[in-house]
Amino acid sequence: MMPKLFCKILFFGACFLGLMNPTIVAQQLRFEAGNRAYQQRDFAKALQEYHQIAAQGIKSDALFYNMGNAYFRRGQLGAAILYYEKARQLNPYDSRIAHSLEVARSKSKNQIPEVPEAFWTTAWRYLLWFFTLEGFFWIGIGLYILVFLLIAHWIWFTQPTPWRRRTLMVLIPLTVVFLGASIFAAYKENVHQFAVVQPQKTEILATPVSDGQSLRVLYEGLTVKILHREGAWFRVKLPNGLEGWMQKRDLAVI
Amino acid sequence: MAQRISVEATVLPNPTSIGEVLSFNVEVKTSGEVGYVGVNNPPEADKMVLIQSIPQESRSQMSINGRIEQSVNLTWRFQPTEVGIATIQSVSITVGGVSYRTAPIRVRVLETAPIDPNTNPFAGSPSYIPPPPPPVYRDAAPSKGTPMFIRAVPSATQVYQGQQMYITYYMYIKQGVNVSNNTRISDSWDAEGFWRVELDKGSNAGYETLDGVRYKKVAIKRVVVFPTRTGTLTIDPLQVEGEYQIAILDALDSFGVPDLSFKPFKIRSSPVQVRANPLPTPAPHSFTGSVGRFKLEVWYDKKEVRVGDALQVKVKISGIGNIKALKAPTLELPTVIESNEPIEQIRLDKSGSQLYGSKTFVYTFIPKANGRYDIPAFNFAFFDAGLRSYQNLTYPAQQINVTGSATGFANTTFPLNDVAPLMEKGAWRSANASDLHLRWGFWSILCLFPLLLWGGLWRLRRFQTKLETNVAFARERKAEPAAHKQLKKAKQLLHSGNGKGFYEELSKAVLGFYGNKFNILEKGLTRVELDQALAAQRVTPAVRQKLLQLLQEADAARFSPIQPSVAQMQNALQQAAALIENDA
Repeated sequence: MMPKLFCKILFFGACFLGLMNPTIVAQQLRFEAGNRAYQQRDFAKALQEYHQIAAQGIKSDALFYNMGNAYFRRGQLGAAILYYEKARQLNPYDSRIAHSLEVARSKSKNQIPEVPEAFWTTAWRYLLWFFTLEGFFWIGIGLYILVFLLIAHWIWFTQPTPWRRRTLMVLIPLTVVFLGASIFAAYKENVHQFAVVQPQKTEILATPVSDGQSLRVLYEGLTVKILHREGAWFRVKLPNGLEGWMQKRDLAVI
Repeated sequence: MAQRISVEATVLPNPTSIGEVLSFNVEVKTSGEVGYVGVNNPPEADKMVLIQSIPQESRSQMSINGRIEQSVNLTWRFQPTEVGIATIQSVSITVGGVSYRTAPIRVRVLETAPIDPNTNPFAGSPSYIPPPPPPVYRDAAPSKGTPMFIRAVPSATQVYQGQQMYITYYMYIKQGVNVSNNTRISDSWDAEGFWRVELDKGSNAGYETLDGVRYKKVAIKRVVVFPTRTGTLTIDPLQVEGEYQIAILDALDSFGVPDLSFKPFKIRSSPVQVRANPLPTPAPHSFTGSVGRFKLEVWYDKKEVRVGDALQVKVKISGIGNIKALKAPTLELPTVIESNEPIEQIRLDKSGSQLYGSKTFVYTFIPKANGRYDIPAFNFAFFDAGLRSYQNLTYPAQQINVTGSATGFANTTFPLNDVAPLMEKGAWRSANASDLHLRWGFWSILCLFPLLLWGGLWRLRRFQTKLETNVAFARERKAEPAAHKQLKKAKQLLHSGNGKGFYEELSKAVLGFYGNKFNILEKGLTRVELDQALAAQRVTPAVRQKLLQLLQEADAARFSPIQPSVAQMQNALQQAAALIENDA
């Protein structure tokens, strides 16, 4: 009786800590089935398994990456790049994801030069990858609790102490930085979204009307930045800086 | 294992003709490092002159099934001087301190240039059909008054599209005529519709008698052409311009004085018309347009390889034809084997009367998983103009054994033009597991909760300070708990039947309660002083009376010799409790 109870406590404890989420454990088995189907070149079945996992609300760099590979093998370049981009969002510095994304992009008919990003954008991207949004958040919360306890200490033991003052002088700005970064990252994630062109051939228009002036022909697989949403239209920015309007149905948001 | 060394001499072309340049090649092959290769003396020959006494040296290395083979090639050039059988004598080569001698080689020297079979490495093949002899050109006779002319001699006038043919332009100069050094070929020569390669002219010269006149015959241009389209194609005439001088005494001017002045001349050959026929259909699947005669050789550097290590396969296609245009054979490899674009190496020999050479494709394969895999067969198809049919060369599929594991491989090597392999493991999380930071309620609590707690803490701290610094407040705070504690003790004494003890505790409880509550030093006060002090604290007369009555009852019981009854004590206990409860 006792070992069973102990196992239950351990399992639910682990689940609570996020170490062994039962949904995730079940979906990992499905993921392996998808991988087997892929190895047998049954890409449709592999995609079916992968999509069922994604439908459970699971996020994983490996899942999205393998979905990208399966779409690539099926010749669906737009969908392949969409899922490689999703994987890259979760794991931006993985060489395998970067390589496959590059290969998929090289197959795309889009030949649009990219405007080089500013150094602070690169630095921010690196920091976000290093700490992750959740990392910023939970480190910020940890620092916040420390600050809270030190202030409580100050209230209780009213006498001034140099160590507490110095620690607070360090911790308070750090707390603001980490919590601020998590808010900023969450804001950017929600507001500055990217999307991938899905039809084999489409156009970017000067105005959000079907017969608007065409600015450029685009092909599947191009990643664009969403600037604004208006009904069935997105105002987007191309990698070369060109801005225009595209129909929502032509884009898949990353 | 002892090092194997072989020394072999070859000569090309054989047979040859007067004026043609021969390549005498000595190849030294070893199963390991070649080291120093020395030649004691240049080769000697009968009926030939050595025109390049310092040999041209080239070294190469090849790995076959893991074994390294090195070779050194030494090449001299000879030119025959007489028709008949010439001999290149044996030559002594020192390899790593040991001397080797090559065998003498006999070369057949003809008067005129041999046609294809002589320079064709496939000439010995039983299926070989020699091409038709070249047409004889006589239309470019000496122009009137000019003691020289050019003759274009094509190897054929009817070929297949892509088939190699060559043209030699000979300049015929009448005996006794000198041509100045500034004589040159004009730049206007073209061969539209052909892909072409210039061959070495060599320093060949001979004599030929035409219509009873003896001419010096010099090859001034040799070119190999490959028709790139079908139909009748025309190769431009070759034009030469310069000055000449009649150097014999029979050229006298009107005064009977020999005319030794240089006179300008401009001569041209006739254009050459070639009919290019289309290749027959259908062509084999692996045919990519190669016409000629080729052979296919394949070497694997190893067949046991570790995961992530490179395996090299050399595919050499050699022979006669458009070597430069040869395309790498395509392969359908297993998906676990990555392949890069093959590296190409071209070797052309332009010294013969035809263009021949080799193109080597070096494939690099990188297996991504262990196991046994088949590298598919290499197929190469070409059209043999001699046999008038397509030929298919095949090197059979080979099995390779891949050992080791893929650990640490993924990040280092990915296929060049393909996506990387699947990910087996990754970071997993629920999509909605981390949205706490997106909830405004959370941020509100995060801000408000500490403020509330700090406020409470501050109040508690103030309360503690007041307890420590304000005696009246402190006594008031502890009045009721202390009184209840003593009443509890009194109750225990009641149950144990200790009447005196009971009343003593009862008195302490009520006196202590009022003393603490109103910060009165109750010890030593008379009942009247106590009553006055309570009245000063606005305690109602009724309460004061009850208190005094209870204290009097307690005093009486404590000093009476009679033990009070239990009912009396319970009544007193209730009254004390009521006094404390009502005033608490």
